[in-house]
Amino acid sequence: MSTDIRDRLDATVEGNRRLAKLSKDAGYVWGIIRGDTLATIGVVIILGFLFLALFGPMLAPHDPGDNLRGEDGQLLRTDSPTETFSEGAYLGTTNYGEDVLSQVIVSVRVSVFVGLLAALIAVFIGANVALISAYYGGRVDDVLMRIVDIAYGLPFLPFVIVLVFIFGSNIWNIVFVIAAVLWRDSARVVRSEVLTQKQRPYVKSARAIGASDLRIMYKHIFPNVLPLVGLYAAFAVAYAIIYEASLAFLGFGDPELYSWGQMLFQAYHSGAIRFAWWWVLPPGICLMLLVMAVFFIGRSLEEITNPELRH
Amino acid sequence: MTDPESVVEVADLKKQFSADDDLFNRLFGWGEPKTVKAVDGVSLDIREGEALGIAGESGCGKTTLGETLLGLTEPTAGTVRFEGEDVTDRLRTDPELRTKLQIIQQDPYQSINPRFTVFNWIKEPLDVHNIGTEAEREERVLETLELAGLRPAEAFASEYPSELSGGERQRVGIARAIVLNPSFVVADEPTSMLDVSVRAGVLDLLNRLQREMGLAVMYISHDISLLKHTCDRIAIMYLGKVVEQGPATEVINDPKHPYTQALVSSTPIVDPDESRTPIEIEGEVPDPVNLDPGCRFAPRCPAAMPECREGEPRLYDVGEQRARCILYDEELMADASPEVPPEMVSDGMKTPGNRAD
Repeated sequence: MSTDIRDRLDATVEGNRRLAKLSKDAGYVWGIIRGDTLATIGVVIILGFLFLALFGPMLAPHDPGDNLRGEDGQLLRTDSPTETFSEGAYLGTTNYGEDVLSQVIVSVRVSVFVGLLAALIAVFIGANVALISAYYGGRVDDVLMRIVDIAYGLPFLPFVIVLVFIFGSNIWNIVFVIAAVLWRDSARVVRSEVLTQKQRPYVKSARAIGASDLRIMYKHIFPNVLPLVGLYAAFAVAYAIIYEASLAFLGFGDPELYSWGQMLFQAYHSGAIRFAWWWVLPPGICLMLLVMAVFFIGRSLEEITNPELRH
Repeated sequence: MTDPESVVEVADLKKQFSADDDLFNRLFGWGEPKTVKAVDGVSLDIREGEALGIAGESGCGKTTLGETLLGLTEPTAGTVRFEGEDVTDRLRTDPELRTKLQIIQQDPYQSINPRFTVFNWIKEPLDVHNIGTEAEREERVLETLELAGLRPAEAFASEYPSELSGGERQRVGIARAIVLNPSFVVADEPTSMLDVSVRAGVLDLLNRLQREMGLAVMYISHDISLLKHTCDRIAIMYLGKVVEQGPATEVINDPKHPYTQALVSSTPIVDPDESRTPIEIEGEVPDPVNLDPGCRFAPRCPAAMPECREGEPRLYDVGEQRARCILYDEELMADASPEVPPEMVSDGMKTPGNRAD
């Protein structure tokens, strides 16, 4: 009876519907962001930084490591913008005569990279721990949640300093170390959401047809906790950026890369941090803007997971 | 006593939940361990193509019974037989059983995963059990949708549950339950969340499927009049026990157990000229934790006697029914018949003294 029915059900119909649903969801998220001025500003700022992260090295007026010299051949050592503007260093120079503007632009990459990757890893670990812990419950839950408790007990800076000291301060280790600290938040909060989803009748329905535990966890429950995971990913990005900058400021950053924290570290150690505002403010303001932008977006995404915030 | 015709047979099924919530009791093992006996020794059998109704008020264990005999929760004790075979230990895991035993849930708004399209939701059982090729699965899903009264099938197939009405969602739930061609389905209050206007349609659909597919269905409901129309046999539950069971018309037209009598008398009659004096039962359902010995209904029973509190009555054969009430214990009642409360007799209810057999 149904060969003609099946013919009518073009395979693309299914695909189109999914696409339509996806764009509807995206439209819904965009609608919430549009309705929130701060979040809109956040999106603009983030798009700007993403652009700089992608094309930064091409846009920077100088190589960030170049030692600029004046017309008289003297190194432009910690000079303010008013003195170096004519030389093409629009934001002044560092104590080695490097262009501050170029360093700030090239540094975007590190913050964005560490922020996104560390947050992704942290949320990936956190969400999986949460799913396994809440779904299986009992002993498994006890053991995993005690590990989360231990992770909460770790003081961030000493822990990170020890790890970076042991493994060396390259950017991958820094990402890993930050993720190792950040996963705990999403693990605990997503777990509580999985606990409530687990009791929903659709899970019972999945059990009744004989779906495996893995299938129930990842095909049934996970898509329903995804909005919360997304929210925690957004906040994790902000924290990862701050943590990376803190590490770099303390001198544990990757010495081969320029980053905002590294710039502040250098300014501090050259003794210029008290007067060389042109060297300190740009990385500081950029950090602040980027983190604020991520928070603004995260804050408005919270409305999706917590509808009570909508009024 | 395995009946070759019975699809599912449960014997002395028990499900207890621990209710030990006091921290100190738990830490030091003080006091009696508390258990809630949600299902306490239920024996039933459901034959091929038969509709069995389970009725009772909230909290009497109807839903737990349904879930336990489907293997959705582990039974504390007792056996479940499927087509004569003891399957108690592999109810949850045996893939073949998971295709044969299905559930239709109460709340169609909660029981469909909101992230699945109707098509994927109904196709999922086929995916899980790896039945047929992709094309065959698609065909099967569309056939099942039509069978469940969702026409045109391909229009519904691509919808998300949030785009459907309650009645349509319940039909989707039914389609998912029957797509694997099961032999036994538990319908847990299948219409209680639906609009009155669509109830009849969903019930008709279930009746038709039952006839066409030779499906054995266990209807769980608190609505006796619904069960009267859909079921061949009815079992009445009170606090985890079956207190009366028998053919649907007999149980409703001529209830034997005082609880059933009260339950039946509380359902309104459609004819306005006819009226029925409701039997008032007093008090509340007792706390199912640590029940007193004796008949569970005794504290509220209008016909209670001192003997009722001495021990749990067994099921007595009364006509075509079986009732768990010592009113039908011939030996006991032979010398105690005057004690039968007069109102029970005047209500036209048969007492052991004047019953037909």
